[in-house]
Amino acid sequence: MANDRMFQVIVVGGIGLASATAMSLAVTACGGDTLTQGTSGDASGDGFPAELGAPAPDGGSSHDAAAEADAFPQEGPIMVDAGIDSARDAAAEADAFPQEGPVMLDGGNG
Amino acid sequence: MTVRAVDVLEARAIRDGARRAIPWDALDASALDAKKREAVGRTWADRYRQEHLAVGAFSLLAQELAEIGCDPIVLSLVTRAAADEVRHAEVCRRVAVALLGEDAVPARYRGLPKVPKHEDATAETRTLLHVVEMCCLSETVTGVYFTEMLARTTNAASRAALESLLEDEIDHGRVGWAYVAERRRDGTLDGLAEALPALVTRAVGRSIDDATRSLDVADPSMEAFGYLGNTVGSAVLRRALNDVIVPGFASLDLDVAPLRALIAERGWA
Repeated sequence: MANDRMFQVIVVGGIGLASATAMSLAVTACGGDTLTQGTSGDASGDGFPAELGAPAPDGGSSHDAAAEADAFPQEGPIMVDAGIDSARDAAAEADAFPQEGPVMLDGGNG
Repeated sequence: MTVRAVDVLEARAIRDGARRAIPWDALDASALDAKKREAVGRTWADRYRQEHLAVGAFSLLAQELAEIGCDPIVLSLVTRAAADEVRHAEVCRRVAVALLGEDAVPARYRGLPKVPKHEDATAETRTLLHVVEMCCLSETVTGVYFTEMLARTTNAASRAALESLLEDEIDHGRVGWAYVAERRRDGTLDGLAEALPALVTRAVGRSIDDATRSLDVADPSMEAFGYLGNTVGSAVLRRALNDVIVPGFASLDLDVAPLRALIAERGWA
């Protein structure tokens, strides 16, 4: 794919993705005021959100699972040993955002 | 510039690399000698680690963007990207295992990328700089790099794996440009133009320098399995920087003169 095509696909395509951006440019083209577009309301609040819209029930007969947990729950395999099946630390050598594409080998393909 | 609004409710249907089936049985690299198989496998193994780190990077961006607010399409794509990267990591792991063997590749990774903290910046500026570095630079470069890699990849399984990644990477780059366009509309791009040389040096320049230090001869037998050598890779990175990224920022009216001067000074043109 030619580089101009990549520019069109990623950059121009990305700019076109933002609906508010498109709306703003359309408003600008019509001579309107763009400053009222796209303002954000503040949704900050204490605690995790209750998406059902109702407060979580308290008390009752449910057992409290939180007291025994000190991390996120492990729903699948429980890792009990080191070795190839355990998680390797990916963070040690990272000092920037990850590079998923280019991987440069020190010695080329030799 | 022609733009088309995309409703957030339509966004999930636009792209999804997970829809692509990968014929893993076709990933037979026995035609490669051990040395070449090791070299190609190492790139996929390292890419596996980078894809894992990208999960944390996009999760960070999602939290930062949710805190300060952004267009819903941006938040939708960034949160989806974190899940995309989990799948990408597994795709890369399986390619690496096919080339190197199960024992040579970790079954899983843990850990987060140590991203620049921009401690003196406001939350709004820090978020902008993070999105630019991750999406407008790293992911855009990745999209161009994978496109060139795909053009040289002939093994059916490797092609399908790469197409599966590339389909998502395009959106991961696009979301950065969408966000910068949104911030431009709001008049909140302060600090970006001045920061670009440092961001580009870290996200693209170092890879160009690394590749240029160790140029090689392109090997079609290795490229067949999803591999770009340093000579081709260096050229692709330069094109991505000069033909896509710099014009991208220029199209959003950012002052790219300092960036162009840096590119000339470092020989990245």
